[in-house]
Amino acid sequence: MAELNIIEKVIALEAVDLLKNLSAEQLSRIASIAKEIRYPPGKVIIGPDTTIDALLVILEGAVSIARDNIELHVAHQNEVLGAWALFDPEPMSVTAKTIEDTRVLSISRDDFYDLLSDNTEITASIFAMLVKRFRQLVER
Amino acid sequence: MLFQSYNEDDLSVRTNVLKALNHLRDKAPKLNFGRESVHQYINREARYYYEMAYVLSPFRDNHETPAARLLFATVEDRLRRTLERLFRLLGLKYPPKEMHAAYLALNGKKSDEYAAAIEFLDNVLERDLKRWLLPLLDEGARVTQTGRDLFGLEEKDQRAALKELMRSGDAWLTACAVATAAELGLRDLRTDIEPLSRKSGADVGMVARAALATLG
Repeated sequence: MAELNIIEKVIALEAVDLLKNLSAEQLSRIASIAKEIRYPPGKVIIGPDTTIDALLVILEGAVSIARDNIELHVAHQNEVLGAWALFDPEPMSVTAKTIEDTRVLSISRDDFYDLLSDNTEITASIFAMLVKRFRQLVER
Repeated sequence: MLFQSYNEDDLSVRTNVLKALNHLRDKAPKLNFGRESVHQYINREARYYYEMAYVLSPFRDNHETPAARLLFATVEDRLRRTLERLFRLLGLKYPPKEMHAAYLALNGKKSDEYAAAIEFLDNVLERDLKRWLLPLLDEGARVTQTGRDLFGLEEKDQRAALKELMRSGDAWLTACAVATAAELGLRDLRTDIEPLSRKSGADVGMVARAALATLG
């Protein structure tokens, strides 16, 4: 399958909850720093107690998320891995392992921060979305 | 120097220059930017608004496919941002707080406040500015009529609108237009897309090559 172009990347990013308040053009700026990565089945893409430095959007495939060998969730197309990793460098306590051929869009933390420093509207929108999520967690 | 930077084609640069000029005017209300220059910039932004309204028009009832939806959303966003720049420019000539209040009223949902803002602008703006700006605050037919009368613009079908966007030099709009042409199967636009597949930046080039492959 051919590598995604910027229009296809934007369409994929539209499905990401964290980015859903952004305009198409703002998403295109994020798409321009997003890199496509392919993983074979059985590949550990996030290990326990290791730091990750990117947000991953699943384009195709499936990823098992487990803690202490207990599967918590199987993530599929349009789901995001490591959303908090963009803002929190602490290690994650879960393992994410592909269970079939998987393609993801990877947005590195450093590139993302560079982008935010020049785009205050994107920063404000993402903060608003994070606060909304945090409020939902607190109210649960 | 800062004021002259408004001649820049890049819209984000223009917006940031304007924000800086608005801050300057807040600090020094008597600062005079010169009538002719402000009018010239307003004329340029008004023309851009009408051009965008013309390319949006053929997609109003027909933007369900993914790229067409992105194109439509982007042009609508451009219209909103151009209106913001126009009011920021008006804030360099007229009392900024009053212009900001009028802008907010025009973007609000209260019809009485909207009508009051139009009446205010009708009373305050110079004749030329009224001629350029008041029609674009009107939805629909009057925008296209005024675009034709003021700037000689012609109504476009989807094909002509996409062609114009491909020649705009605006990378994101070009990419959206090329992808939309491919979605709509507009094979006769291949001659417009072909040079973009070779000469544009990486993102547009990639979209153009994918479009050419789709169009066969």
